[in-house]
Amino acid sequence: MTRWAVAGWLAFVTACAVVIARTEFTADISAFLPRSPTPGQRVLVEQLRDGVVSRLILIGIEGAAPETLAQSSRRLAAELRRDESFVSVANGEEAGFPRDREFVWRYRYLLSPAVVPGRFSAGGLRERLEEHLQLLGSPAGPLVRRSLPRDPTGELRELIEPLEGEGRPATREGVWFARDGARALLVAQTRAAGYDIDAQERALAAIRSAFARAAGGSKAVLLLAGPGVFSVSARAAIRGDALRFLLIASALIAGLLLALFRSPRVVGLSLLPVATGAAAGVAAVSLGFGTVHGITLGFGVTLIGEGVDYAIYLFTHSAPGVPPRVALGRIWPTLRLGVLTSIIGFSAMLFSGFTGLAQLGLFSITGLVVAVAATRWVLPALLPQGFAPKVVDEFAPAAMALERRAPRLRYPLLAVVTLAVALLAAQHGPLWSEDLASLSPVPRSDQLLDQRLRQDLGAPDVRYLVVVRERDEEAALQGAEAVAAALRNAVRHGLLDGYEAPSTWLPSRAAQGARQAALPAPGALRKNLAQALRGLPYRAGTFEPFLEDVAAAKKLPLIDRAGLRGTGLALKVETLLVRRDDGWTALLPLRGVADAAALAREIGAVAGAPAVLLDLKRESDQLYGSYRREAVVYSLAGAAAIILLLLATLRSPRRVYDVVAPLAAAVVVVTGLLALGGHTLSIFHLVGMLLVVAVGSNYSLFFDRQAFSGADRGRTLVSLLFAAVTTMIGFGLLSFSSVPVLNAIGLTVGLGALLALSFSAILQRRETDAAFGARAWRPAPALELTLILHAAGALVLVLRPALWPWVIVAVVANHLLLAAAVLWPRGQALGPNLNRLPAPAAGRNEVCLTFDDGPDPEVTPRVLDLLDRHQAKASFFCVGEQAQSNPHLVKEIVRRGHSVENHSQRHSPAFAFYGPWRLKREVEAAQAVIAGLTGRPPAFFRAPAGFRSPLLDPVLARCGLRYVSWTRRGFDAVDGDVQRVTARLTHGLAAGDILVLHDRAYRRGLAGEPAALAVLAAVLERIAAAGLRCVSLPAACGRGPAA
Amino acid sequence: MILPLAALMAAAAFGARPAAGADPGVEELMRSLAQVRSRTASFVERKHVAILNAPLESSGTLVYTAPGRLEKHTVAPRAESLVLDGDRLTLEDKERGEKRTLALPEYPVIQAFVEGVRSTLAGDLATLSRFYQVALEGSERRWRLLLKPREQRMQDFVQEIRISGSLDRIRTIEIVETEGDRSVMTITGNGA
Repeated sequence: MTRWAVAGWLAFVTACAVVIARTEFTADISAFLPRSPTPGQRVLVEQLRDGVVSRLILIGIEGAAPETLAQSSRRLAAELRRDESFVSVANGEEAGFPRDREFVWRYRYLLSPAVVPGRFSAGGLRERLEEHLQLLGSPAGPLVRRSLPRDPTGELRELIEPLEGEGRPATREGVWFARDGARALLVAQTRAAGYDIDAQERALAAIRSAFARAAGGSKAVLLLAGPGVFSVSARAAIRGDALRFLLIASALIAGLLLALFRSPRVVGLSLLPVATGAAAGVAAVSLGFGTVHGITLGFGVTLIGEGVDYAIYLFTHSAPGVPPRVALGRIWPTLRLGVLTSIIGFSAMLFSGFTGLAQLGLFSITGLVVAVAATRWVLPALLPQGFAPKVVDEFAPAAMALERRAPRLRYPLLAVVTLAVALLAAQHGPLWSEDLASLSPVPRSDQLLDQRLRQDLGAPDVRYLVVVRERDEEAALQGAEAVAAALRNAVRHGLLDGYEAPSTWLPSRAAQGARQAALPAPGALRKNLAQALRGLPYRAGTFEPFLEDVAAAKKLPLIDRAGLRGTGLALKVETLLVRRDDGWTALLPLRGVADAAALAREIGAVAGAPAVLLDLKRESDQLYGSYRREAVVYSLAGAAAIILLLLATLRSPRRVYDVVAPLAAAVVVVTGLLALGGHTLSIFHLVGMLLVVAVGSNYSLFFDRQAFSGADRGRTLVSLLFAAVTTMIGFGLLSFSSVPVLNAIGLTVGLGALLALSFSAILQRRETDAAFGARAWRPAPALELTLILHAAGALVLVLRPALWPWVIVAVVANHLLLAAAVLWPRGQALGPNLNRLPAPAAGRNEVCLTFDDGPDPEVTPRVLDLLDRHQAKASFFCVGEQAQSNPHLVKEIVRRGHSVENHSQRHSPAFAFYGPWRLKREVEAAQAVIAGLTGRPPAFFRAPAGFRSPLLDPVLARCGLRYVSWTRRGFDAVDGDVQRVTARLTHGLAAGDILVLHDRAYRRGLAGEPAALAVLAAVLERIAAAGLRCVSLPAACGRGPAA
Repeated sequence: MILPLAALMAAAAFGARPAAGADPGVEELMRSLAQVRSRTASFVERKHVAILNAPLESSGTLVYTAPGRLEKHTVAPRAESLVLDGDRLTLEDKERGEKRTLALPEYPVIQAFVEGVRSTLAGDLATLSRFYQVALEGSERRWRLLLKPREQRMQDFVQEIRISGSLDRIRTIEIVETEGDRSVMTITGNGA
């Protein structure tokens, strides 16, 4: 059996290794794309993957005099321009684009959208020539005068103008500089797409080595930013941090375990479940999804937090005389429930529409199941013979002393939870990060550097994009031309600053053909020009070059992709005109959009082009928003499922509350602390919270678990302590990582695990409720939550008075719920409530008849006689005033072997609305009256009509009274139909039932007989027929009948 | 309008930059020019362009307010204005109702042009020396400042700017361009 387990494990690990070896790992952002994306989301992700923006590397050089920086910039640019991996390198020097300039100049008549027939008529030419005359006289004169003889219609200007906008970088010493002159700036565009991290890494290495040569011995420093830089550094950081922290955490944990267990073999074994679990998780994700995302892998580190715990629970519960197998048998039910809880918590994520979340869910579930299975079946087989760590007994006394003292912190803890709730409710800023960037594994400092360089360069992120989809390339280009014409117009109306279009450098064949056709034949043009020049001061013969160029342009072959090759424009076109499975897509990025709504209308009105204006920021926000909403919904669903699981397993709402409350408190306090620390929460924090619940549920379940012995309890406490310390080490270390993902999870779980353990110890319930006599009062769940809500509400009113309507709504809702609890006599929400006899009494086939509202001179004696006839004992809940009026009856009840219990002094219908002092008077007065008559204070209390005030429980606790309701009641006080009342009372009659009747003549039969008597007779017969025995409450609850 | 062409058309090689020798006369002239708080004057500008067979003439007013604001309002042959304020240059064609603002650091050639005039008016030798080699000839009552562009891309357009004047008043601004083009602005008037 043992061998088989180990052999099976080895086979399993081998299989995992095989799968992992074939696994493809990605860091592709599209894992965060929903499975059924909108067109907008698809474009967004494509842009992030390989759009033009994703290929930009922003370079800054700083830390030296401007002249030195400029020189470095020129040398660096020159070297990079020779490098094949860069499509273009811009630093403000014109030398960067000689081929582009040549190309644009040569093809200007095919490229310029202004080339239409009228432009080269005599009138059209005249207009241009007059305009240029004016320009020659302006300060810009020197700039136009050279190109004028070849380009009097100003086609170059038509082409360049839309590309120029405000916010270009400043120039100094002939190259781009930041405004303050502190940094020289360059922009390099890589040939490889942004998602190709290996290629990006090579490009960065090339830049660094080129810079080392360019900077020479100067003190200049290189700054790099941009998507590619981020991908590379994020991958390195995740790899580096995850690996480093994994190693450090493993070493620390191994060291700790070595110190505790003093056996290297045991330390090795303690890591076995977690390692197996992680391997299985990766393999499962690989099989289920085809690839494994880097972020999923990052969670591998976090599994150590729970996986190591399993081994620790097993080791510490082993002791001399308790071999591992026996120890395992003792903790297995709790461990299994803990794992089930974690699995349910994570399983909600499996159903997520986002691959990233679903991967996380599958990874965690597989990892945990395999880790616990390895603990259950493999570890015991591998442990040394007679394994019994001594260390446990050394720590146990201290742990138990701590545990005894912990509950004193209950009220301070409630105060802390209250504060956290108030803080979160009154939170000013958004609690949740609204930005897709929060998913980015890029450290904050890098993000800031990127922003700064972008500002310097005047190159803001592309936010708006027009997308044109068509079946073929030509149609897409024609669509882009139609949109570009509308945009040109919109620029003039100030709706935006500028745009880029693929058709700018690669016009459709139709457009190029039309432009060629619009150029007049040489003879005609010469004639038009002569006519246009008449009366203008241009020197004769000036425009001969123009005539030559137009004649040449008429015969130029049309531009195609091949013609663009070798220019920087080729890549521009390539990125703006993309081939898809279902056709071609043209992209037109917009700059400086002032009025997006008006622009969308303009673009929608473009005839014949299926164009859409896309707001990438909104798309990405929506994407992130739906991602986050889904994560929140699935977490809540997971929490609900956990509660259902616990309800089904523990079968007591009260125990479920005791298990869940510490976890909820830990999550609330951690969230409050994070908010206080200025963190906005991301999905990673949320996943961290799930881990807190997963890890913490083990703690609180172990606290809830009934110990086999004092020693067993001590071992449990020590195991929890060790488990929490290892978790703290594992996650606490992660919180030092600069990678946001790792940092968020580390901080949340490290803190959360510590709090979950301490809160479990503080909030645990002592088994005192079953005992008789005065007990320490502990507010019932509903009261505890009500107290927190009221205090938090008051705090919120102080912190943010504007929220008063919400506070009122919350308080009113709370009171409605409380009222419902008051009106539900058999409920446990307002405090312990006996509605069935304890299990031992039921085992003895006992039931209990209780009589309320007596004693009554007419009914009570006859009830006593009836009971005697059936040899039945019962409990009489007497009203104090009634008892005072009929003292002999009270004494008679006791004399016949029944018990007298407390039903309040005056039986007021308003009892449930009394304040604490009146409640106290009512209970204590009746208690005193009855004790005076019977010589024994009652041990049980029932509220008039069963409606108990939320404030009653502390009064009962003081008087040493236990609250009793009933299993069934017959409504004999309001219903005179004997058969019906009897049926109500005896329907489903079973051992352990508590039944209510009244020893008062509320209803009478036809003969004037009190109906209660007939009912009692019938009930007693049924009870006898069912083979059950009637006993008094004290007898049933283990306290012998009053002597 | 055409100004963006500056970026495209200028060439690139980098010229060596001689150290700026501080001429005591230049410094003294600059100090006296720096005293001027504001001034208004009329101008007449004549441009000789090789491809035209007649010079272009324009006229209007100049308004200078220390330290960085210079306005040139052309009245004839057409209403235009050019306002330089700090780093921003605003061009307005009043007849067409077109207006355009440029951030100067983005247009190095234009920046060099305008700083040649504005820095002289402001007596800002430091800025002037960033763009030009500065030399002075003549006397205090009849001086002439010679500005030679330092940067290659400016040299492609301008050989020299010559500014002449008397005491703290500027009389003419002559821009000698390449390929024989040249413009002369004559400033008359008596602004305070």
